[in-house]
Amino acid sequence: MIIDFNDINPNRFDAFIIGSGPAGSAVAMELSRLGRRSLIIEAGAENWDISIQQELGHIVGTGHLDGEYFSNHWVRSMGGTSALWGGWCAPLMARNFANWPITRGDLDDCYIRACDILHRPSAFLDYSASFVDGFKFKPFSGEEPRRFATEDPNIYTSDERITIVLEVSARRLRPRHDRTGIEAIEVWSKKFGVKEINVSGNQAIILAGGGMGNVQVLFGSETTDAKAIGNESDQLGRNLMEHPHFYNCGRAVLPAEKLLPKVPPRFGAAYPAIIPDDNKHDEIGLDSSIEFVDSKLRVDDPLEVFVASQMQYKVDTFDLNVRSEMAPSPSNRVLPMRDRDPSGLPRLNTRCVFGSDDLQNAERILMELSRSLASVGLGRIKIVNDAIYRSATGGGHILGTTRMGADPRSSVVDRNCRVHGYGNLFVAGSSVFPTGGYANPTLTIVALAVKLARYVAGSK
Amino acid sequence: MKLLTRRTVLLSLAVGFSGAQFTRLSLKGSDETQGATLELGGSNAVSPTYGIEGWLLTPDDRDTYDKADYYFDNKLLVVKNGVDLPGGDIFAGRVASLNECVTKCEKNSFCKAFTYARLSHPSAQKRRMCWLKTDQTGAAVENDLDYVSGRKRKW
Repeated sequence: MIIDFNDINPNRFDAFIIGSGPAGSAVAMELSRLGRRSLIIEAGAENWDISIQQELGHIVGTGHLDGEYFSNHWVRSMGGTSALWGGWCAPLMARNFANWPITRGDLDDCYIRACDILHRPSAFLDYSASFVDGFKFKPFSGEEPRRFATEDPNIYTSDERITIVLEVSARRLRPRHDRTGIEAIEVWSKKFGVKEINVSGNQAIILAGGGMGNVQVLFGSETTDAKAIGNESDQLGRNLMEHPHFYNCGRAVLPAEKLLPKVPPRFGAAYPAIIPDDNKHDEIGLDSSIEFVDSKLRVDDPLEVFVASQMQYKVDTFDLNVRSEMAPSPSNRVLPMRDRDPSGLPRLNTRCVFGSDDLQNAERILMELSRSLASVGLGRIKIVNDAIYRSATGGGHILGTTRMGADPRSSVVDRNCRVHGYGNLFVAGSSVFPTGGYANPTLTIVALAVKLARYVAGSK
Repeated sequence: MKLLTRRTVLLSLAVGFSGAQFTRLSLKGSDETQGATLELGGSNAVSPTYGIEGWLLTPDDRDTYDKADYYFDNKLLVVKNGVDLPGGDIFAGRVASLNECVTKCEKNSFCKAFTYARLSHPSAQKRRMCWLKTDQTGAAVENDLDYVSGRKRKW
């Protein structure tokens, strides 16, 4: 139900969720399924409003991905960035959890529920098929993206255990005096200025404002006397990561019939892609994926014509898109500025620079593929240098800024996504990822949201 | 507010900043295996390396590619190096080699002559183009090593 702030009875709720994107919405949905009520506090309006986006979403910063880039991928309206995402899903694999305090096994059930929430069959989670040496065929699930705000009916109006207030910004969390929990959420709205919601120790607060939003509201709690909540070890906002996307960074000539498996019908919609197998991944050190996009033979390219004619089987030609892992680096970070937005939250300053390893990883995986294909005489690869070294961009994935870890000195949240030391404060979203793998994060965001909801519901 | 002891401060400076809990992700062996011009290891005969216009080719590939402008195997046509035959076209298309062009003409009874442009040709659109022709061509233009032409009858 969409309600006015004045009509809130805070005692009704088991959880306060800040942000209504896929993370917040999934937490609310799973809590509801478990009989719990949540209040979602959303800074945006029911429909996307450019003036709200500009007033609240403005970010400055430098690097391969600049402040404007991050602004563009943080949607300030009901449903959050679900309005924009492309619907691609892939799970993180066991090898991607090496630096996490949880395992892939801890998420298996949650991934299945996540598929349900994101409206796709779960067969793709564990599906893979063989490919040439060093690789496996692991397509992306490509169903239509779920848009939480514009679907009819939507969860905000149709689920009686989900309540939402709109155009209300959570601008500060007030910690208890002993800093073992949060006692109030201070909010701001253009309509009524500043008000407060008192929170008891039994009520959970879940930050689900995106990789930028979660950092912003935590920095908002910084005072002259005390560090920001979650920043006691100077980890807040650090290790900002994305997924480098290298579009059309290569071409491949190979016989599709012989090499590319047919995806079984139970998989659903698929985008064909290969990934390094576990041994190759360990050898290389960073994860990656190569998507094959059908393309016609370039008859105007004598080299491509030559290469195609050399192969013993009739070949198909493809453009290649690489989507890969970015190594975390503490100097890639989000910082608060002295400037405040209309709600009183600090404006954000970002730095996000791809490392040399991040860029070379794309070249490396193409070279590995080329070697494997040549060794079985089945294909050749072309590398497009500038698409790797001059045109890398991101996927709209904001990761790592409130990272999960066992040690409070080097992380912001623990294995249950609770902010270290604060009993009733949690974080949902890709800001908790300590590493990102190559996979689009939405599926994992929703799986972690489900896990968090179950934890919050179970601990009552 | 927690009191920070000197030890906690030092510890957090040393550990907090570098995130020492985490194994740093990095590209391994990048010094040895990196470099488009370096072999990745394994059989040299097969390992492709970065070469012409971004394509990763094996040494055999490159050999064949270089020869493609020179090698042909045909008894039916009289082939002359460095000659262009203008006009009389019944077909124009890109081929992978001189030999392919020669073969095309041989197998096409309407083709009485052909011209092939080598990779060296200054105009990109003409490189490795093959023109099949009737007898009604213009006069042969000689001394241009970018071209190879042939006739089914005597010149």
